[in-house]
Amino acid sequence: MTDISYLTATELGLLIKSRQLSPVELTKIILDRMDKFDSILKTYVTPLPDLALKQARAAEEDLMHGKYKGPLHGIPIGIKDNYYTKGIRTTVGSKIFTDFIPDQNAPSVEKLLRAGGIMLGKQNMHELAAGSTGTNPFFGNTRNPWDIQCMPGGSSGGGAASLAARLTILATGTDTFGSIRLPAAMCGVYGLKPTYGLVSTNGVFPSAMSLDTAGPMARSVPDLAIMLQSMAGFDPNDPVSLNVPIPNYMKDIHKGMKGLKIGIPTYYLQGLDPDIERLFKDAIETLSYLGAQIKEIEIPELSLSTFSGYVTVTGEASAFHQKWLQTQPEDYSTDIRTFFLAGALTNTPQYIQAQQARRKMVKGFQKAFKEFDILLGPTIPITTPAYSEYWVDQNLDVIRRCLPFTAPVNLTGTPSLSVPMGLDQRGLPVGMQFIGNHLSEKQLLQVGNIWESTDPLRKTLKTA
Amino acid sequence: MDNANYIRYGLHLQGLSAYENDIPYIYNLLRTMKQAQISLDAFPHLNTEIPITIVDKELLL
Repeated sequence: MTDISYLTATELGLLIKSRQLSPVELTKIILDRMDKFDSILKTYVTPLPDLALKQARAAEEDLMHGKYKGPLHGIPIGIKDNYYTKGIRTTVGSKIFTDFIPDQNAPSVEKLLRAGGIMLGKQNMHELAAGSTGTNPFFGNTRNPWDIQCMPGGSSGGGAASLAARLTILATGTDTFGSIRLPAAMCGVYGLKPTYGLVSTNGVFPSAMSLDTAGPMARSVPDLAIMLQSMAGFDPNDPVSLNVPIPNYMKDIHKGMKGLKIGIPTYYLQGLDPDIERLFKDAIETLSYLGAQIKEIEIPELSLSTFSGYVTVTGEASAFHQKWLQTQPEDYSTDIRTFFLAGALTNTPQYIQAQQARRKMVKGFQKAFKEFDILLGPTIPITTPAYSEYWVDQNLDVIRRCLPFTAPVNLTGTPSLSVPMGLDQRGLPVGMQFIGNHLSEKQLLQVGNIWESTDPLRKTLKTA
Repeated sequence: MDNANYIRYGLHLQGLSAYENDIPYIYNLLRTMKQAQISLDAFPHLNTEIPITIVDKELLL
């Protein structure tokens, strides 16, 4: 018999709808797996088994009474611990907020729950969503299920690792300079960083407000689509929320990519680890075979990403955290404290120049999207490192290598879908990202879905 | 003023304390930003661009 923890949310949803699977049964299976494996993997900060079972029973009762809420009905979801959850501690992966209990749910959490989702627990993350490895001295380092000596990436490391290890069916993430896509790449799962403002960040703990996005993570592209369908939409209480029509992301998701014009910015071909370079070349061949027209393109403005990214992230985070940095600096871990303090030492002209650079980058992207439907690059230029005992240096080094690849879409507000690209020579997954114009999520999901049908990982991870 | 003192003094002015062990990390981060700032030289008219800010709806649509 198929182990149902391997199934996607889309597959499970059909079983639940047709009453072949009960939400309670499904939730118990995932909770059992959490019990068995999470002491090692540390993907959850606050598991919520009692609440999850209560919600699963309510979902089951609704079904019995003919109240079907849609494809998320009865589906277990892990919530990153920087989304506010009413009456449930929201630590943001930080010692400072260990006892913070919000009095309301983030609207995106509320939407997922109203759609019938089951909240399994609050998931581990790199402290304050400001690091890229998944270390957390306060709640434990999350481990990569493909190799527990390795990092899962961050900051949404708990979400990505729990998906890979089947300790959840879906997960929420946030992405300020790569925090959905980077761990998705390292853990071999799918992650969508939406257009800035498409998903409300109201009730999501800020990192760098002009870059912060919230989005879905999953083991398949259709799962991202059903999750985004629920999370996206105008929030009048979020000043940067977009008031735009939300398309049906599942409709035509199986559309092919014949004639699709894909541009490969040469910027994304620099400084790649050999395995990334090899697998990216293979991926380009596969995409051509699938009917895409692929060409390299120069976008000189992308060279501004490192400066603009560092200055914007550290400056905005430093401003937000100033009070706590002044009064309780010892409660930050060294990598995060130094990252934020560096931002305190940048100056106003640098910050303005960083925002002028963003305008320039938007123009560079807009020009590219006149010629191409989609841009493509590796999600990050490196293969997944093993955890180092020098974890402060390691985090700052991973940021230094990866931010130039992940930050351009945060700086320009454009969406990006990270998909597994293949396995490196050690058998660990690596990822690539499809980048679209503003509000092109539907097209990104269509392209990603076709890519997924090539089975890029060639095998399923088996942790047990 | 050497780099370490610049960092200590700059933080002190903002009511922030600098741990001695933090200083090399902060220095490296500032150096990374300074080196990356060279990329601006390729865009001599960058100063004429209107900075994107969080309330700028142009970014959003």
